[in-house]
Amino acid sequence: MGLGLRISLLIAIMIYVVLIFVLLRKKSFTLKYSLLWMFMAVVLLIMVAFPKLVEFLAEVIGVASYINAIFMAFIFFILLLVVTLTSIASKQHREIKTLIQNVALLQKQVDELKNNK
Amino acid sequence: MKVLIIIPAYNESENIERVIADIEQNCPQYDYIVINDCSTDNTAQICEENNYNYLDLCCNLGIGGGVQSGYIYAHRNNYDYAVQIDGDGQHDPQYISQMIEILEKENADMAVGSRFITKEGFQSSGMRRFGINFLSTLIRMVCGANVKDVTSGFRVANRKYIEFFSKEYADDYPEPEAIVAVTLHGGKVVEAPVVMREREGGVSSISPFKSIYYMIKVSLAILLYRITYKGGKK
Repeated sequence: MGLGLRISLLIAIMIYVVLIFVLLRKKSFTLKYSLLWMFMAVVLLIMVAFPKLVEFLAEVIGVASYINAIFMAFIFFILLLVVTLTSIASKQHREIKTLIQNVALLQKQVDELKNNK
Repeated sequence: MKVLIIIPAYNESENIERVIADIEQNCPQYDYIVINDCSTDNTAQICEENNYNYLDLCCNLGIGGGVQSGYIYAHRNNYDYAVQIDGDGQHDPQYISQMIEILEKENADMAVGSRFITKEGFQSSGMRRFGINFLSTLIRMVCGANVKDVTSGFRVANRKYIEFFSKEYADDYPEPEAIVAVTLHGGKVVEAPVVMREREGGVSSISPFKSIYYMIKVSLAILLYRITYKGGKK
């Protein structure tokens, strides 16, 4: 892995990590959901720190160029994140549905109480 | 015997008054609740002005979430039977007592109003019937339930399945899936003959354009329900 590539990857990861921390500090990020993002940064850092490891892994899984192995890792993580997001969205969908139903039922009870007075 | 009629209504201002008048005239012994699923027309206003018993959802949940709120209401208010009828006047409330009779006689948990038993009244178009037959066969293969009119939204559930539906009910196009859910959870589903009318006003929720999507979605939902169903666990 060339030095230029390693330095640019390192800078990119740094920006990425700083972004996560800023978002966490602004509380616009729940810690629970940021764990996967952090884990991704750590794995990428390891890849930059030990290029020989990446080259070895690329050879083992039959990828011609180590840069493609890095791309593969990225794509894998992005897939993982999208699946996680879908699962979070589904859970929220369920919760919001229950909320809407309960608001409607409460609203009805409130109206009934008002009319009885 | 406490019976609740659940009427999901999304933009049914043209039909809702006729549907309620029909219920009040033909089965005054039953309670009803209109679920206004955040209609963009004046359905809510009509309900308010006529002093109907109704629920007003603040966001559009679709047919599944809407009907489910009716089941939650039925569960919390201790109803023995909950009847689902469409808000467009397709279903004749006169059949409700017969449906409940059949359900009790057969010792079943859910009765589906079927237009294909006596083959009278509105029978739907050929293409649709083909789709319904396909889904009916699929459901029979997946869980053994023998129901012909699987997409019929005219159905009665007993106390046990009122509670079940108040916790678990599919979001969109829930009718066929509910049959699978009830059967897999050990419930018995029977069919009761009814005569359906063609809708008189408004537009159907399933346009021809959506039919293909409907078939794929419902077939997948049925198969996935079977595959992901954890047997024995409630």
